[in-house]
Amino acid sequence: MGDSNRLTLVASDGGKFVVDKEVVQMSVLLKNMIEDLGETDESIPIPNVTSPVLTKVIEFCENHRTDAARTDGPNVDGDDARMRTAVVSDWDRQFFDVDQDLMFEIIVAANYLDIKSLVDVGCKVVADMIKGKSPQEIRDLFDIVNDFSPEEEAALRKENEWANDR
Amino acid sequence: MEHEHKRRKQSPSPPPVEDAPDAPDGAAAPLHKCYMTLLPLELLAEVLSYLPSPRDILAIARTSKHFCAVLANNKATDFIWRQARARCQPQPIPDPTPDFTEASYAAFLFDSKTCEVCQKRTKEMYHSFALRASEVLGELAMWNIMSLQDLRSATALHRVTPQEEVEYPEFVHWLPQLERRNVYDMGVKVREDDWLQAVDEYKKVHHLGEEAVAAYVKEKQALADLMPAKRDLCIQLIRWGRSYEARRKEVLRLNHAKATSLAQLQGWQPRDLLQAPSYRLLHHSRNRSLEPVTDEDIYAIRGLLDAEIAAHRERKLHREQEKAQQIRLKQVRSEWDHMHTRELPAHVLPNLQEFRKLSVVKIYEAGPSGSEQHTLRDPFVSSVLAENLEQWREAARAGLAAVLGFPGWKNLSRRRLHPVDRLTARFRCTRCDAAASSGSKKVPEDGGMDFARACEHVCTHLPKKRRNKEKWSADRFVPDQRVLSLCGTTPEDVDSIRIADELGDRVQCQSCPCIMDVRSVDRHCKRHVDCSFTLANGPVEPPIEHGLAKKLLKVSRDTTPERDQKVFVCRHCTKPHSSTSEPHPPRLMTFNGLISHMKEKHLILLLADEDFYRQKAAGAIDDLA
Repeated sequence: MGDSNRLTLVASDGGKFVVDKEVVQMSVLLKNMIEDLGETDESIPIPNVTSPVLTKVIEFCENHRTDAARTDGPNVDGDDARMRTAVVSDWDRQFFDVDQDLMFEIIVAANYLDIKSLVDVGCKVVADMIKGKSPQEIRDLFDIVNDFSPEEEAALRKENEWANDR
Repeated sequence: MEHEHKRRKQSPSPPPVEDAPDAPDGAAAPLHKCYMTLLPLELLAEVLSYLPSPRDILAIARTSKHFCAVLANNKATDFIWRQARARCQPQPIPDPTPDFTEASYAAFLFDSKTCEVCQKRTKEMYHSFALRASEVLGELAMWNIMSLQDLRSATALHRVTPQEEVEYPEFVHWLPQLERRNVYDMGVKVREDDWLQAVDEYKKVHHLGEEAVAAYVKEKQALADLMPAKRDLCIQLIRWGRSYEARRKEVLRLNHAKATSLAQLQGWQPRDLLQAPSYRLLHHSRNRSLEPVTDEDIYAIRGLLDAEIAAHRERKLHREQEKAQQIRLKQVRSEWDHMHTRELPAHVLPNLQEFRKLSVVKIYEAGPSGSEQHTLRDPFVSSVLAENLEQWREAARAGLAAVLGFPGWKNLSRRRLHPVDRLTARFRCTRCDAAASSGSKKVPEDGGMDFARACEHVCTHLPKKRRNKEKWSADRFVPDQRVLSLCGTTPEDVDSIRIADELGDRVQCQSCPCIMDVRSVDRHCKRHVDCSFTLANGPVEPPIEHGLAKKLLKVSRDTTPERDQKVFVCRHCTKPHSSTSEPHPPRLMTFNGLISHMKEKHLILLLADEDFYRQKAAGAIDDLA
């Protein structure tokens, strides 16, 4: 018989992770699943998330478990006009100091698992990378292929190219 | 930290990202994945919701067709732009009029503009949003400078007079006009071009009849209906632009001060810091997003700065050294040219490559940092150079004397010339001769070389790189003793050169009508299999211009005008081949024409001074005839 406060998550590549329920419940998806299943010893498969990504997600949830109460409060996301310039904490910044592909996989996994705080931090970090950069700098940063033809690019460079085109 | 994100993934097979398109079976794996492009729209919108300005969204929309389609040409994503406008600091951006798309509105506000007065690119806001007028034009308008006579007419504004308002009453309702009013002049100001075009159109329409007028009125009424909203927007934008500009200038000042203080604290040059890639990117991106650079930002890249600044300084130093070296190389070249053009017999010079190998020149070219201020003409340097040159000459003299059969020659009598200075001392380059005889390379017919020419001889048939590496050596030369004893002197006679020079152009070839000087004999006799010479009674007329052929055979921009003049006359044609035949009248040719003529008529491939003369004055032709 296992510990009733812990449960096992299985990543898409078969990796198993034993985690506190309190930590797991930061994910709205898993929280609902646990509520639906009730008390069980069965492992919960996470089909869309690989072991390295799940490791990082669990690391984040464990670090932020005390913040979990905030997500149960009033819906702060409903306010479109909220100030979205909140500073990313040093720990979060360090947490996302990883390869770009892993960073995006964490954000996508957080979105799938519905961990709002992780999505928010991830998006803030990406936004911080984009802020104030020119199109070419953004291309260089994210390996975006410039598929505009030279003529199209010349038109883009033209002053107010999109102005009054409606 | 941004740099850390750029690292490539270490693991061999990255797991697929959600919503990533499946690669077709058997298709080669792409070299890289753009995870940003693969983000689902909901997450992309979430990311963009943290951007402080539509300027950033515009930048993303311009990165690729994908983002352009998602953001710029998609009404479903207008909310992203709207939210960004609402978040813009220091004030939210007013809503656009319906004739703008969100993207075009952002471009209208944030794209850099070209000032139509001074033609400079500027990132400042429009002075007049309605007229899309730059600050400079706006300032001119504010100061009532309406007629910009010294500027392009397109920049001029037109103040609508009361008479014009009566004559064309509708125009002010639909023509874009300057929204800022000068307290000293409340009149309506429009662009001159717009006004003239409107007047022209108005007159044309009234000639076309009732229907055209009705259509015209309907069209202009629609514009007039939009005008109040546009005017309101422009007035709001002026207010917004003023606060935006104030904020922008403040941020620029703060960020510059931050860079300066950081540089001072660390003992760097502020310019070096701003050239470091990490800091430059941070500085410019913060300037664009109107955010001051923070200590946290600097902390994130602090580890990279030392190395980047060191690398920058190294590059800068290297560039400066390269530049200084190029200057020194040029100075050496020009000094050699200068010495070469003095043409004093005592100044026999080595060729440029050998000149560069002289110890003092080598040290000068290597250019240790302390020697920049010195030149080769400094008294001390030039005295050492003269000494180096003298040593080189002595070595060359001894080497070539050995070639002539006088190894270790000592001058025991002042009445005896050094072997290399004698008239008989002519040299041929064995390497050039070998190349010429093999026919593989085109070698200019050089004839025999005297001591000075042998010293500066360069095997021109060699590739340039090899030529520069070649070391001059006397062993490469063989004697070429063909000078004739026409002058009544002996090779050893100390006065032989003077006697030969005083003889002038009197040596006549028996095989052709050429008359030349003694020094040309050696070259000339190679034209004929069996060559003999006599002394003419007097010098040739017109006199030979020595060195003219050599000068004009060098095709350059300087010689082209001279070459193109039709003033050259062939001596072979103008002189009778025998006493019985009549001389031909002179035929004037260009130099190129003369070369062709010589090849065709006289089978002379390389022109020499004795083959032609230059007609000095046009009137002289009649005299000659």
